[in-house]
Amino acid sequence: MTDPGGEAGLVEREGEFGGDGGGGPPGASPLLELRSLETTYTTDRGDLKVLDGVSLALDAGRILGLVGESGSGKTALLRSVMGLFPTSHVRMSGHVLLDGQDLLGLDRQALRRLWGSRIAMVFQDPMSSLNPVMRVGRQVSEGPRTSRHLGRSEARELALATLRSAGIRDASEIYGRFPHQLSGGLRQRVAIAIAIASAPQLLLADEPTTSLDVTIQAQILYLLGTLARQRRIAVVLVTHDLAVAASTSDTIAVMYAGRIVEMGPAATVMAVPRMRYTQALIRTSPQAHHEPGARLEVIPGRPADPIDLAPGCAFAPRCGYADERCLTIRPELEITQSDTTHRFACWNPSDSRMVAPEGPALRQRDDDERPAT
Amino acid sequence: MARLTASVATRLLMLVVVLFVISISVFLLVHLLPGNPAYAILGPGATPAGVERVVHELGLNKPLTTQYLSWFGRAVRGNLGNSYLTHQPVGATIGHAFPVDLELVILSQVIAFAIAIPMAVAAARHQGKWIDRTFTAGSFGMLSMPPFVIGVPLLLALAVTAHLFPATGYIPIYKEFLTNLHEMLLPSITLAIGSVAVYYRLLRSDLISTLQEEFVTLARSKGLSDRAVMYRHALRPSTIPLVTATAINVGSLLGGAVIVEYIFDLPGMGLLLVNGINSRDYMMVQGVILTLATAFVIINFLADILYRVIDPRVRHA
Ligand SMILES: Nc1ncnc2c1ncn2[C@@H]1O[C@H](COP(=O)(O)OP(=O)(O)OP(=O)(O)O)[C@@H](O)[C@H]1O
Ligand SMILES: [Mg+2]
Repeated sequence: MTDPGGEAGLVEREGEFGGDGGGGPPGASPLLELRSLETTYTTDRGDLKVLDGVSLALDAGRILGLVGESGSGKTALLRSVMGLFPTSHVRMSGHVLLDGQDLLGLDRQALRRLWGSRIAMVFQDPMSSLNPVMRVGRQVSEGPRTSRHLGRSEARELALATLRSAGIRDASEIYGRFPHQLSGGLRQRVAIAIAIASAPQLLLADEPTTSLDVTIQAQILYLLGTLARQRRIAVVLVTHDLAVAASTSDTIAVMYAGRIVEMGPAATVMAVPRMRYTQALIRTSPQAHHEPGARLEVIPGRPADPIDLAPGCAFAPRCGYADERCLTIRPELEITQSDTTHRFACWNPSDSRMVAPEGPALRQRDDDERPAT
Repeated sequence: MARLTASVATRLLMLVVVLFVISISVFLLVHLLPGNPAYAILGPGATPAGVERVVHELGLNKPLTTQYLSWFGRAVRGNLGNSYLTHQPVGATIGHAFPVDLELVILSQVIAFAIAIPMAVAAARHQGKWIDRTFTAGSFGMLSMPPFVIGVPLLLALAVTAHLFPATGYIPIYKEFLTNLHEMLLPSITLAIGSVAVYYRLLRSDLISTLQEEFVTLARSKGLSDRAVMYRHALRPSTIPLVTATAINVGSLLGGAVIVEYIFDLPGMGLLLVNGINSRDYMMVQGVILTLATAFVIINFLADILYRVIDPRVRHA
């Protein structure tokens, strides 16, 4: 399904990234590998397949940007990697390999030993994920205290250092504060500090910049980049903002209805999106509209409901290019070991030679009869 | 901080008003009771002349307002008058009796927390399972039982029959610490049972909703043990409603303590009150009720302040 000719150049450029950024030697096994991961939430409404056969690989020191609409399963993916859900009404199958070890077979005790010290998560909303009645310093220090058996003062020192490396300058001042006394940006830094306090290899960051203004957002993204490159932490960065993913990530994975529908080097995916949903995402992202006053485009229709998915491509009901095959047969993502190949799941992909996404990608837009800009 | 001080000042003012109203009610209540204390004091051989003399001595022939003002005027200076019966100062007698009830209430609350917290944690962790259902059913049972229903069988079984605990007798805690605790254990457990049910139910439902919170999942994601997640994170936000409930509860517990202490024959306020009523010892009854009511109001006042201090969201708001 991929078009090697069209991508070769960009894949080469991706190679340079690997040079300064880390990225394991070719052939070495990736730090994180998901194989045919399926996760089902059992709810009152019935079974909800929130992950439907996700496969991907991520090397140490690299950032994977995970984008998709609300409800597409981004948080579900992170939780599945951790094996940590708020409820017990979850079934999982497939493989989550961390350094070659399959986490799906581990019991609670063994999983808990990985949490914090090898895999850590920055939760979607720092306001609700920080304990409102515990001083933030203690929230940072208690992880290492447990996992590394540190004493009180050692843990405090480590927490202060961690707060500083999360970009908090007056760490000893912030240490004794409660979450509600901090600004949104500081709270997000505290959330990141909590996650990196025990020096994990894998950081799962769930929309760490969503509620922040542009300046703070840039600082947080820069911080994540630094952590990845300097500490060789592998980062999964969840965002629904393609521009954020593009500026920060090495690889972009686009999710739709619990599946990865397109994945490849960030620059390639942004420049030559092949899957029609990705294309629509790029066209509708606020950054794509330069003229002031231009109407913000939206992708028509509603996000797919994982409770009743069509047999074919989940995006087909909203896609202007869908044909009979799209509605009946599901396009599959080619499985590779490498995260540098551009892959997509689409029966009618866009032209790979196209430089910028343009033209009538959406059916509704055709009907609109507005001049294409 | 200024706001805290201001609200404390407002509450203090209210406290004074409430205590004033209480003193009037207590006085009226006691003086409107039927029966003349002179007859009780003089016993069966009372003569009209003797009654006349006693009434005059005690000032019972003066108008109620005069009686009230002279009693209240002395009471605010800490003088609750002398017992009609023993002629001992009421204040000093209460000074010996009140600590018994206070200790009973405090011990019962320590016991109630020690039982209710682990019960609630276990029930919340295994919500809907047999352990949760058993505890919850049990808590309904405990709530519906007044203290003497538990106290009397407990006294009969463990003290009178099995001799594991003393059935009567009292040594102040500052004289013999362990003997005192041994004596106070059964009464305290009796008094604690109602509180266990109240705290268990409050904590269980609080915990079940807190466990849904994202910060609990984050705490788990740090690799903390289930125990640490429960006691350090999930239980902590419940401290505030728990303190509030305790404060409300302690007031009515004072009433319960008076009954329990009487059942177990401890020399507390219950004994003073019952004896005082039987002998029409107005001064004693007034003093006891005023002390209990004042304690009730002050405890609630302190709880209100405490609640502001422990909740960082209220404190810094
Ligand atoms: N607690 C839950 N119970 C039932 N269904 C849930 C629950 N949490 C999420 N879901 C469903 O699981 C699917 C995936 O949700 P998920 O939270 O992973 O989406 P997301 O991509 O992270 O969205 P967002 O951008 O809004 O965070 C959605 O269909 C959602 O409705
Ligand atoms: Mg999410």
